[in-house]
Amino acid sequence: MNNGLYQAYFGVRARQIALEVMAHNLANAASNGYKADQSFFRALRAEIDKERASAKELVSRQSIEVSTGIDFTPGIIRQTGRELDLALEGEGFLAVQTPAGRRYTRNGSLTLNAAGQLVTQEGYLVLGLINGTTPGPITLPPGQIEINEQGVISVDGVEQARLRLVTFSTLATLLKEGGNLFAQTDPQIQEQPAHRLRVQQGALESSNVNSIGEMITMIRMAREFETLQRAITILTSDLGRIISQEVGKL
Amino acid sequence: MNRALFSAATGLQVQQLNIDNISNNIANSVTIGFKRSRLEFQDLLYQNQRTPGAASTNSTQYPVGLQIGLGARAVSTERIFVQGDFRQTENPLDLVIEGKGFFQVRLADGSLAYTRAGSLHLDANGTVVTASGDPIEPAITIPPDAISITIGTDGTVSVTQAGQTTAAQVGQITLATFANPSGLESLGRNLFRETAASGQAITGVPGTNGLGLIQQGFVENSNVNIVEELINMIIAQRAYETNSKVVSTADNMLAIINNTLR
Repeated sequence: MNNGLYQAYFGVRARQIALEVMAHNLANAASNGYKADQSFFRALRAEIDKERASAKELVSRQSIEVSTGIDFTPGIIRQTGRELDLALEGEGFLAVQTPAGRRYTRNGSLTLNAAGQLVTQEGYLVLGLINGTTPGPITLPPGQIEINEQGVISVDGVEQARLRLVTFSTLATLLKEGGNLFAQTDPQIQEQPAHRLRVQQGALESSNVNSIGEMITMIRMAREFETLQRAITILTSDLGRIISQEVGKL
Repeated sequence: MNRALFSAATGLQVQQLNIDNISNNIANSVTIGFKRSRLEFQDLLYQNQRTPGAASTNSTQYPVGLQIGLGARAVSTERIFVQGDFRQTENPLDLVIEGKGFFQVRLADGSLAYTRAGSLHLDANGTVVTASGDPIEPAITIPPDAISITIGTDGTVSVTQAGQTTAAQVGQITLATFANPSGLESLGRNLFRETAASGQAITGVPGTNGLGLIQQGFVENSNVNIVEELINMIIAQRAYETNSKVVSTADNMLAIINNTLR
């Protein structure tokens, strides 16, 4: 059977997924702390006997696997002047307690809840070290809040708590959960203090989506998609011609 | 393919909301005591078709997974309580709060509301009221024969009456603050209402409990920065445009599929 048709289909499918990933990125061009998804294509080859197979067979048994990864390059930091806006400079995350467990975020647009606890916009508790030792949620009294580069929070000049700033030996096992949250999927990888992370108060990290780059890739994907569609049309008519000519003779 | 269309649709929706919010800020750029708000966006759920770290064979793992996101959503409108500029008016009943705090206002239905707009007035009975006519809490009445009104930084209201040489104290303005001012509900007319998210009002004399001091003869301008809003508007418009391009590209690709078999 003509495998070229399947190959063209796999190519079309891969580009569909790439477009979906891009559409999601562009929809999040204004989400603070958002990290873009990237799609990768990889050739897969069916297990065949390389010695005996013809060159045509080698090529025609290939297919495409699509994967996505997270691009952790920093977004642009922009000044907002709001005291509970935090931008993280360097590799690392804020640790957040959600009903589903510990999560991590780069979105530093924080607020206080009715009990004076430091929370995310969705109301999840931001974790810290109280008095430098006890881990837990951060409760702040009313007053002027100041947060230094190391993440130490003071209210009216009195030190209250320290933000739990963490990173991992590898970021490859982090999974996005929506809501600008990342989850650690590998229980073997423990969070470790992010020493090289600097906190900037009164600023936010914008989404790192590169709109121009995404648009250019989108145009390329659309054109390649069109080419593959042409290939499918040609292969189908080719198949039709062979069937009518060869099978018709019988 | 439908996922791309729907993701782009969520992108269009959030940018539309963004423009709505920016227009409200700009429309209120000269409203006394107005606090600008900001929309906060987040990514929506993901479809995990293959998790990174999942086993590809008995001994190896997939280094990367396949996660397809489904767009963006607006999660909150955060009100930014940054101090606005002060403008001198020399009107004795124009008050500003230097720092945190809200004036308390008794609404017609008996409930309390809170405001930063301190341009106060007197009604026919000499009661101190807001520009909308709602009395401030605790109620203060200025005698009709008062020649001058002095309001101290701690909120003490004193008047000098005709024929008197010394000032007499007629009231005390108290302020309210909240654990989470961003959780207050906007009522319009520059008024805010307490909610479960804001926490209970903490009232006190100006200058105590982290409350700001009062300055007489000034009004607080809106804290909207027009240049910043215009830049945000341009960014929102471009983001809207980009998302609409995704819609047309996805639509084109669907049309191509439909043309495959002729």
